[in-house]
Amino acid sequence: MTEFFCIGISHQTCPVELREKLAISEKKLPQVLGDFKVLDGLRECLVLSTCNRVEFYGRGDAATIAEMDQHIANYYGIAVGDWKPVRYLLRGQAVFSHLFRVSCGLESMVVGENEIHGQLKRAFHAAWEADAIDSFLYQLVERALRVGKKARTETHISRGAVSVASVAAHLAEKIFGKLTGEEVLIIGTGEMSERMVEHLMKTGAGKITVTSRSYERALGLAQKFGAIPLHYNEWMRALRASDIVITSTSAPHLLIRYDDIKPLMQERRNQPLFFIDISVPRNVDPRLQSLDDVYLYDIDDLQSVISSNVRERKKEIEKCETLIEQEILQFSSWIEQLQMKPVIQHMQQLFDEAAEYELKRFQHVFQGKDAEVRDIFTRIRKKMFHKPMSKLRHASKEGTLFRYLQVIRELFTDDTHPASEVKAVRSEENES
Amino acid sequence: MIRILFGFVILFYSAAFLIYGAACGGRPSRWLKAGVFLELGFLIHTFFIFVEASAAHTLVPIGTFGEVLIFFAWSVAFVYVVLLRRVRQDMFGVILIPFLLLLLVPAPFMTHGHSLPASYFDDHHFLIHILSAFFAYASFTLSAVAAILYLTQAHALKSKQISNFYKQLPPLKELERFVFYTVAWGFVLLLIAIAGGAFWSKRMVGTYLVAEPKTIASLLTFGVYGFVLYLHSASIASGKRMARVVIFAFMLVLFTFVGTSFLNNQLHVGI
Repeated sequence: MTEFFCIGISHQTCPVELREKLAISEKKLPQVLGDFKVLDGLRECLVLSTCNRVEFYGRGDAATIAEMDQHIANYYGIAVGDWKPVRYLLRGQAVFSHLFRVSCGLESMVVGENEIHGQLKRAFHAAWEADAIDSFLYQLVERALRVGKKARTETHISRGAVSVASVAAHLAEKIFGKLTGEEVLIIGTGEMSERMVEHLMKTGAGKITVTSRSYERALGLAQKFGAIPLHYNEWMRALRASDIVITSTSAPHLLIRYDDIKPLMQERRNQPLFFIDISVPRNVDPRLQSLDDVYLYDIDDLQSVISSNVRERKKEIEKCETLIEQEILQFSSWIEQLQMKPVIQHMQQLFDEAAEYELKRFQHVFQGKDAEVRDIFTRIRKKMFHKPMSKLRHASKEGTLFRYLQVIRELFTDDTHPASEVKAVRSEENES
Repeated sequence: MIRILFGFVILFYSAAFLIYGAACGGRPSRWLKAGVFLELGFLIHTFFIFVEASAAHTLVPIGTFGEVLIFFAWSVAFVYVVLLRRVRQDMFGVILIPFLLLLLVPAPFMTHGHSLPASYFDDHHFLIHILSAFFAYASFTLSAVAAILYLTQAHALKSKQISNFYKQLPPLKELERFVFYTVAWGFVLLLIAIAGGAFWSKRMVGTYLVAEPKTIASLLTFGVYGFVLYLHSASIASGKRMARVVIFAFMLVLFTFVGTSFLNNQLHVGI
């Protein structure tokens, strides 16, 4: 008897220092998957490795889990005794639920993030390419991807930006619509500025100018993203032509002052001007907020938008869980139906053999009427199995199939040959 | 038959409004459904106007004040659903439909006024004048709706209010574009209405310009909207200031269209 299992570590159980060491790059996946094939009891497996989790999904017999643990520990070059306390182990239905939650982004650090869906897709593709996946795990992952997609389209789980850079880009779009014609000025070249440029580029921003006290750094960032570098002493001139201004510097004083912007707004004929100040201490005069058509967001404002969006996403978790429950039920039913097939086949075989035996015995009675007899035989067979089959199908939908299958197995599975069984019945009849 | 049709018009617009409300509350998939109900409501409204006109043996049923309101509501829906089909914003429905219902619901109770003589409609200048005036005012109504949405969105962005309603609002630039698109349409249509009216009055009373409150207010409205277009095309003003100017101009439209009806009009009786 095989079962599904999942062995893994995630951001909920493991610090980033350890996750970094245990992460498996996409390039190494085929080799890792290939290595698992030596395990006899393992029928299928898939490795999902992201910055937040490393998980080994598999299907195999009971002994396989211990072998997997040993194999994983060997791969990482640690003792299995050190590996076991940090990893978690899920079995059976808990695996379905976990994988579906992962796919929907419910297990992610940022609830509802989209990246995990693509990462699962790539892991699925790698397992398929490495021939490590078969029908059961294939179905499970395919359903996980499907429910992940459904959660994102039918609920608001991934709605609303949840990073500083994406919130800023989203707000800019709320003011200007598509950013293709807008000019962007970025003052400062830190990591945050880089993320801003990246996000603005993604949203289609046409002209981005980057300036910094160090021209080389401005040049470096500009070259990386195809932006325009600018000498620091020229930023005020560039600001006059800009629609979006982002400051991310370590300057301990205000760079953009109320008295400079007030006359500028008159020059701009009140065309909207959007300031994003992610510097601490702030670089943009907060009094600018009082000017008409000037929109100013500092880091606290952006964080508050993020918190609000995260709260909104959390409200959607319940809806996603309903979708997941439905999918689990369907998948469990699919597995049970697969288990049902051989049992039903066995029952039908018993019936066929008994009927064949009796037909042979009374062949002389039905001579010349073979076709009619066969026809009657088929109809009896159909009628006889119709009700139990539909009842079993119904039970599989309700999740009670297992109980029925157990009874059927006990009643109909026997090592004795059906024909001999029939003979035994006949002899009993003769004796009586 | 007419009463049942009118009931259906109210029913469909109300249903569209409820669905728009649900979409605003965070179910964006309902925008489309609400749009369908609005269009169905408009189709029934069109049929209702046709039946009403046939019953009154006229081309445009604007005899009583109630009929004027119903026809104006239809004109607003026509401009939004047909003329602005490509640039229309889902969010508009949230404000537009209550406005339509506000015009339609009291209409059956406003029976004062009297029908226009059928001979007026023999002159195509009169028909052009009536239709283009209604469509012009409808366009200005939509520009005012867009301007209100602009100020709402600007306020939400300024005050950093995060709600589902805010998320559904269109970007400021798109709203601004929509405002001027509708103002431009309204301006052209009002020009046609004034010209049509002038030719018709020349034929009726022998002069191009009749000195009565509605005519003067219409010319003033035309001038104000011309000024709005000039401010925009010359990039003299934009943003919130422009939105406020457009709302002010719409007040003038309301006065021209409704307010002057209570003054001493001669040719514009009932309208």
